[in-house]
Amino acid sequence: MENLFIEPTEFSPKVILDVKNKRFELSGVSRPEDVVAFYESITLKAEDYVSQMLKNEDVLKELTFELTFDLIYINSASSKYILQILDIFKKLSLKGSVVNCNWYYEDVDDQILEDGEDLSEVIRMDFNFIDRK
Amino acid sequence: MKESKILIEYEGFFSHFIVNELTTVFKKVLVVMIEMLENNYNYIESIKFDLPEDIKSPYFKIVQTSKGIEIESSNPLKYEHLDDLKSRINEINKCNRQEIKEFYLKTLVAGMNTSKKSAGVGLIRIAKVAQNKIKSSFDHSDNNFLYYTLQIIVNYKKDT
Repeated sequence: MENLFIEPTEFSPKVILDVKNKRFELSGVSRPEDVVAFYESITLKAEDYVSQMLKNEDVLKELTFELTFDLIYINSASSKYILQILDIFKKLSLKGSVVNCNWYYEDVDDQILEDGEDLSEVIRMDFNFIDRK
Repeated sequence: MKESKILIEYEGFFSHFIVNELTTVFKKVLVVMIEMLENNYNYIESIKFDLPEDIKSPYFKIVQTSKGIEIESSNPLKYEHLDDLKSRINEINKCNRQEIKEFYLKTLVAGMNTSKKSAGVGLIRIAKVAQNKIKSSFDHSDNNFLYYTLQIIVNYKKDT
């Protein structure tokens, strides 16, 4: 399976699905003009990756997957898709893998921290909240 | 722009705490502003083929008031959408801070797997972030349209 890499723009985040290193990253600003078009390919790729992993129970038990969210701004439309992405990768933890979710924020930015806390609560997954400093 | 006007001011010795307070206010204003503008243009985009040529244009402003920074957005609204919007705003304005968070999270979950473009949390997020009630007005425009105005204040002092 191939990696996914999307270059960031002023309004859309950098996206990485690194298959070899078992990590997914979303960083930057998330308010793309066409939020559906932007996130559709990402959720499909994530679904595809997770479906493949779920086929092998032995691999799942040994798997540690890293999620990194290093975002500056998220609009409400993007929240829906970030939640979908979390829901997809959560399937790995439900089958025995370790899924670490690192959520970066700045101490002067209540909103990004609050967005992360909200998503963590909704998806019922513990996040590691990391002050960017 | 007729004249320059102070949008935000603070007199006194600055500290890390004060810088954080000002940054927090501006970040809230930014979030509310983007949500309002996105609501405005997404709605207009959805009804663009029904809009008469002489309809009043959408409008947006941010002003300083004695209570805080007021953000206001206006746009034409189809009469058929009035009841849903009014009821949504009433539902939001009934909530206290904890309830608005619960309403936001509940709506986000409900909207997660729908075919709609967004989860429908924009208005709730505006009230949640500003931590104030939404003010709205609906003025008659013509037989099919109203002119809808949404206002909210982000207070200067962080309400903890």
